[in-house]
Amino acid sequence: MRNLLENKRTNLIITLLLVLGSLVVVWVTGKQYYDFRHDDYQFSGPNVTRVEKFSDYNPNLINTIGDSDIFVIEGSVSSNGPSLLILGGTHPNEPSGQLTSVLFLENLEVEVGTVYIITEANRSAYSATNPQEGSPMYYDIPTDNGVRTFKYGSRATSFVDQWPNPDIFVHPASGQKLSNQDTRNLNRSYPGRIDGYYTERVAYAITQLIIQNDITMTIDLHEASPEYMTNNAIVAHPGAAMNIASHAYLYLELAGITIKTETSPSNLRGLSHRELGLYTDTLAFLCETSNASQGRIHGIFTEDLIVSGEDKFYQKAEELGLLAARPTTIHERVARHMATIIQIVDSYNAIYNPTNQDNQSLIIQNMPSYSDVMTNGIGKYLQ
Amino acid sequence: MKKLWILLSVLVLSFIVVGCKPNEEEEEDPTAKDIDIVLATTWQDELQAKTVYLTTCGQADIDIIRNVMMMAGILDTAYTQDNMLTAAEVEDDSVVILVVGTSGKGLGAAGTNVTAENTRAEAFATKANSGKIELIVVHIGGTDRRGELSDTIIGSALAGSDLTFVVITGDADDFFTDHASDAAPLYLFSTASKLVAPFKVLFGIE
Repeated sequence: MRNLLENKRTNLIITLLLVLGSLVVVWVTGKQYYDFRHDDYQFSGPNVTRVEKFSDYNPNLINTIGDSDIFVIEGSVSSNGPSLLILGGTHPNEPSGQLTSVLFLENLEVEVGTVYIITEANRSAYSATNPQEGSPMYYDIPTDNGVRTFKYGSRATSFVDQWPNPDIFVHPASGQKLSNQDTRNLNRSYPGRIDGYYTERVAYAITQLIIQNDITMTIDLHEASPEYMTNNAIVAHPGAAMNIASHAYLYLELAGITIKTETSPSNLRGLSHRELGLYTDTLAFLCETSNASQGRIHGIFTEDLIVSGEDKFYQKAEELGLLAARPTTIHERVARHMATIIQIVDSYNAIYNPTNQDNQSLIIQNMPSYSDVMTNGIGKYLQ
Repeated sequence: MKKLWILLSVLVLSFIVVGCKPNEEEEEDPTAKDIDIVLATTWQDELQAKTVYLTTCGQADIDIIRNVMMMAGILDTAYTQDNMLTAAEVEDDSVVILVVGTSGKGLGAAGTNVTAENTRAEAFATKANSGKIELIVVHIGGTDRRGELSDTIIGSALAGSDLTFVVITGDADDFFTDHASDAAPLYLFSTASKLVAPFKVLFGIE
């Protein structure tokens, strides 16, 4: 009897310790999650003429985490003329997309036309990292004004903002069946629905932004794992956008930047380069660069992996010729995106305004060159 | 002592000769003059006098070639582009510029597949081999447009090629070189933009 009581007491103490330990873990990780979710980074740019919100285009996003900023830079000579939407932060675990949009936000001057910049297309996906990936929550970029820290989020909308989700996501516009994960994937949710799932509401706001402002070109910035074939590439909607991408390919090649072009397939629905080309008049492009931290075969997931792209397993895979594209530094990934955007604009101007008629070209300036970013690093050009 | 000096001189000269030897791995693009000599006599008049078609088997990179032709100063009206053109639709005594290399996304966009594209390529080659058309095969996609999906189609097209332009990264395994012959010359270029020069020659543009 005495032994039984002692055993019960021991079990009780062990149970209490386990419960206490669990509470400590829950408190520490919960606070970490809470702090990360509410770490609200404020972006701005010296030449921004106005800031709009996603809720201006979908009122269902008012007072939600999805009410992202839309930075508008209007031409100093004329805001009439062609316009461009730079879409960063669709997938927050593909950081060169956001960094490129920030680089434009903080440097770009527009002489003629209007440029719209979104740095956090899916803000909910910036509120958490991918489960079970063990990825860092932040990464640092050294600048002339000190180290600047950026959030490294997840590919998809947080469950906190979109739950429950169907086992199979039926893309409403096409009826195509997609995986459960794609219910929370912004780049499978276009053109979106005003009152659909959270992610569809965000997609709807972006689609309406393009329609209501008659935006000429939309460039969605991404990264791909080095083993994925569509890499260092421009994916363009068939027709006029593909023609511009092909023109850009040749001029990027002449500048020593090798890239490939791919046509947006008609049977893969929900993506920006497919649906925005179908449901709006914009010329829709999506750009990919090669990111080792995005892939499946990297080693320990560190900040350095995100920034340097160096990983011994990827080096081995490259030696064996198994990669579609060499993993690169974040500086090269941003430089590629930046050079591609500028060339797409130049190609648009060359094709649609060969005689340089007033207000028929989008005239942008004050961006560093590809070699500037490669030589000095992106931090040199961030505030 | 004299023998020693001679030996040293020979050694020094040997180093100089070896050191000055050009890197054989560095391929140079054919110059406009090279292209002009070979192509101008046999092809220039043909493209100016005949109907010219631009198509693709594999649904990749055709818009890049159209832009190459634009950079060469060739007007859209000088040729007919149809990405799904078939050999049966091509009039006799015409010239077909066939861009090869397969893109999965491109196939999806065009609503076709590798088997159907290969059938089209075979039909063009058959028509070319029967002397009814001239076939110019172009491949610019490098290793990305080689491999299982691409090589069957490329092989089918090359079987009827009268002239082949290739960006050299696509010929790392001599696939195109092995198919070339006097009757079907192959020109290798370092980049796609270098194809502007031969297209100028083909279309007689100064």
